[in-house]
Amino acid sequence: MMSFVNVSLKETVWNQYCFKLKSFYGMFRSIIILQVIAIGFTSLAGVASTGSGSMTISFNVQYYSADAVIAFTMIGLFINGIQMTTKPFREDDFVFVTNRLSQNLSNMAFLLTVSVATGITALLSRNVIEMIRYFLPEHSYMQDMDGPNTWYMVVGGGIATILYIAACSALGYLVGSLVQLYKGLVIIIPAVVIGYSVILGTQEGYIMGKIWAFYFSEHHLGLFAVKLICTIAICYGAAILLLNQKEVRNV
Amino acid sequence: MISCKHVTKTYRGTTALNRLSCNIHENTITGLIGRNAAGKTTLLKILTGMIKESSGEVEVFSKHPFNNLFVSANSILVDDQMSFANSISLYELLQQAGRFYKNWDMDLALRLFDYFSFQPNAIHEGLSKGRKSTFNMIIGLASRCPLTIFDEPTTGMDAVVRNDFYRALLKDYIAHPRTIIISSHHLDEMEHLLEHVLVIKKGKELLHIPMEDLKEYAIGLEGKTAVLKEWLGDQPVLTKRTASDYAYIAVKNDFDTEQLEQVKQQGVKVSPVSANDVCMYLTKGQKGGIDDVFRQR
Repeated sequence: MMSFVNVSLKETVWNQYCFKLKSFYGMFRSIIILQVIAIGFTSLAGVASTGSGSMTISFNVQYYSADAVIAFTMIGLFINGIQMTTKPFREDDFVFVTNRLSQNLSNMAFLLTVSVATGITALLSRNVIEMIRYFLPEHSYMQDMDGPNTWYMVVGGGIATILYIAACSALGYLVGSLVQLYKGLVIIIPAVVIGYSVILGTQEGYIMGKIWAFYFSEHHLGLFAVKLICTIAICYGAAILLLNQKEVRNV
Repeated sequence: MISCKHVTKTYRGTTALNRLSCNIHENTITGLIGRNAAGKTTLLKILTGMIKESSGEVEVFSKHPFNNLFVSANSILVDDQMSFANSISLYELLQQAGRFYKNWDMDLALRLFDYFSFQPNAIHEGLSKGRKSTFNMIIGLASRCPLTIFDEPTTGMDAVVRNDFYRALLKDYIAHPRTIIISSHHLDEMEHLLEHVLVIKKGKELLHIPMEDLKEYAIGLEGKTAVLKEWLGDQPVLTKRTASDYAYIAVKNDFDTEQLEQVKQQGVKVSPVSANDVCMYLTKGQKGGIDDVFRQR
């Protein structure tokens, strides 16, 4: 007689997490490719420039930073978050041992891992950009402006960047979950978000402005981290509830 | 082991299962037989927690299977919809399966893998239909789950592989008894495997009997139409074929030997009806035969 086996949720999530690190390796790769593209753009064109001159002298200031790389990473993780909720990804787990909760938890762990890893590479890309600039012919004088120069800034900036990226993936996961429940949201969500920001984004004090201020104008690192971690937790929590009754392999 | 009570499943208005009830006992091989769209796949997916019943009670190992880790860890559904990650090779898939299924037998998996000459580096998506089925079957056998379900496992397999599969299944079942459910259209090929047969029609159970009983479920009578008519009266017939004043009729075998002797003396030939034919007669529609479609044109 075949003996029954008992598995714990923790064990299953861990197994699924290890499985995903192996099988969803392509996600890391796609983000790294995005970052390389962003590094290329930034090194060649800068993120902003200003210039002035007179009869005898002229100068041109170009700003370089890892901002574009971080932005690309955020967009990439948002898309990956959505992708994780699509049918083929959901069904992959169901050939092995799983339930919906363990699947969502392992997806979350996987997305957080990708966020941390790609967040670190995004931050390090600043040095790569500086190095490329150094070797480009038109380089004349380079000044480190407001780059991180204390440990607090390095670590704090790093944590903030990773939290932004993780929040993007969590938001993507939530949006993807909503779409899985009702396909019409594929059109409705972008329409509402874009429409809303066009209508209200220009007017101070409206909801969009407040959301912006809530997430992007927080100066206290601790408070900022709490805000972002809560947002991430709410997104995943909502996604778990939404997907908990979702059927698989239902032709 | 498995108990279903009045299980109903509807998909957007169509009823796939209609108050189906059944009990399947531990350590038996049950064949699930039914026409296309009879609800076989739906039932198997409910048993493994892939989908959720609309109403009724389902219990597998005394637990409700939907979202249940214990049921998932102790059961496997092998079908042609198994979605394996395409980023990793077949060999790695076997390794990963071993991570999840605690009873996993890697030795058996590798022996079968080798016997069916799979390339370790191949990707599941790149396999042909029959090869996919063969690979899925290896996963199903090697996982050694107390409840192992095969839904149309032989899709696309050639005759040689099908025979190998039935043999492998039987050998592994004898060595490691477990509860196995197989749904298939090839009842004649797996007759020797099955202990029980569950026949379903239009989402409802029709018959759930031991294989031995199914083989004797019906008899075929061949003789003059008038004689047969008089002898059978208005007893329901399973199938009827007529040619001038001769007829072949299959009926449920409720006769004793004496009655059969009598009818033989009246020039009627009595023959057994194979299990496959019984299932075919039981599950065919009420619309007559395919011949009727081509008549009157």
